[in-house]
Amino acid sequence: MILDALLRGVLVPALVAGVLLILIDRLPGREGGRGARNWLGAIPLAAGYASTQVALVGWPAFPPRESTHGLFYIAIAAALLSPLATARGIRAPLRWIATAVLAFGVPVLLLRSRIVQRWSAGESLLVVGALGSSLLAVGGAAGTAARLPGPLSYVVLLIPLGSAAGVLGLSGTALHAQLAGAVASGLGAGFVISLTRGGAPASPAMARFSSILLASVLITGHFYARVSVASALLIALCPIATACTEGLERGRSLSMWQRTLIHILGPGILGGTSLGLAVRAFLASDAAGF
Amino acid sequence: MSRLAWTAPAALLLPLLAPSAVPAPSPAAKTYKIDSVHSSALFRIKHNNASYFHGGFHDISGTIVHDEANPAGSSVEVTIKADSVSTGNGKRDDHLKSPDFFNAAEFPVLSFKSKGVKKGSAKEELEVAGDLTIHGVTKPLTAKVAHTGTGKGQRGEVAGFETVFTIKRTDFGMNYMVGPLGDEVQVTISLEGEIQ
Repeated sequence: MILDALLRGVLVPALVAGVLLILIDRLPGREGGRGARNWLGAIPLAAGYASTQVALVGWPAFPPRESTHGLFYIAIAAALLSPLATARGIRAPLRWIATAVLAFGVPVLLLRSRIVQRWSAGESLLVVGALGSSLLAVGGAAGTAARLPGPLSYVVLLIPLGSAAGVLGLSGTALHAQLAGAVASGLGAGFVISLTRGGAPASPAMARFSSILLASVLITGHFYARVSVASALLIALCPIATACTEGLERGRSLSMWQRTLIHILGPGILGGTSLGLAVRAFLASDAAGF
Repeated sequence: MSRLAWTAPAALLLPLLAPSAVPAPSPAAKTYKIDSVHSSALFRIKHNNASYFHGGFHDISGTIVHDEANPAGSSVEVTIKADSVSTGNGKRDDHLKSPDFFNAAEFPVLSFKSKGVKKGSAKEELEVAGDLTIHGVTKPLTAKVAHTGTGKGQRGEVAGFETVFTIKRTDFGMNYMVGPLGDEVQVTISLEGEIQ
């Protein structure tokens, strides 16, 4: 059972994302593989994620019947729209539209059942507005990762997703833990490739994709499982912590180790605290194990 | 007057003249309100391909119309709250309520609504056909229902009915962990209704 979970949730997405990342790296372009990497960068992660979801629960219904189905289509939309939302050569209005569709489309799609069954129009607007604005901030901050040195850029994206996987697993949804873990595994493959093949950092599109999927699994975890607001908020703040530490580092000459430590510290503390809160809630519950 | 002018009102009246799909209950039909406290909705599923594991729901409501003389006039509507799933282990119950299985937050109820009832082959047995909705997916289901008895409760006559049937959870979009947890689920519904 554990081997099967590892195969579907870790190995499959890592292999799919890794192979696609290497292939994209080899594509000819103005900057070697990097031009293509910026445009296609989120596709390996989305493919890794999608293969895990299909392996775990099959193809989702279309139109999505539940939020888990919605996650699949969010991954595809995020893979296609993240390059538009982040590429410098794109005209500003188009970039803003892509950014807004991603930020506000995610809560609308994931919280559809609440919007239809439970909330008033005002409540729905408030929640979607607040979550969409938070997604704008988190997505913008996540772009900082793409400016960090190669392997480090993957690590700062991986920490919040890995923490989210742990928190989701402790909060009653093993499926969503595996789905968050699938994105983390794809980033892990990127880290290994970056470490061994010349240190190319994660592309801005990849960083935006990761932030969208991170927010999506946290929203479903909070509204449909037992992820606490505190745990979700702490993890969502990880990309903002990375943006802050990048600001602190600017203009100082630091060794590679000092740089790594500074950038890992913020997300590490936030992710670790979030996990700690989830462990405490898990242990405080009335029974032992599934 | 044109032919269409004659035929249109006639066509409108036809459904009134034709026999209804679900016959109306006879005056002898009795209506019972399901008593949640004395009704059970239990399930049995294989764990690790080894043992059978049992669980249930404790919030059951609905109505039974029982027409002994004319079974076709009988009907049943049952609603079960997904959030009331219970297996004797808090964490496992939370897991069952989560999006991995019942997704109780998005699909708060499981339900059955009969579409047709006929007399079964055995004595005191009914064959009930209807729509079963679990996890937001509706599938047709025909179940053999035993009328287990009639007695006297605190508020008047009570009647009991029981059915056992098997479904595949993947038919209802509950696809997670098929393997460690079986696909086939045996369901036992035992209802006690108080006369209205």
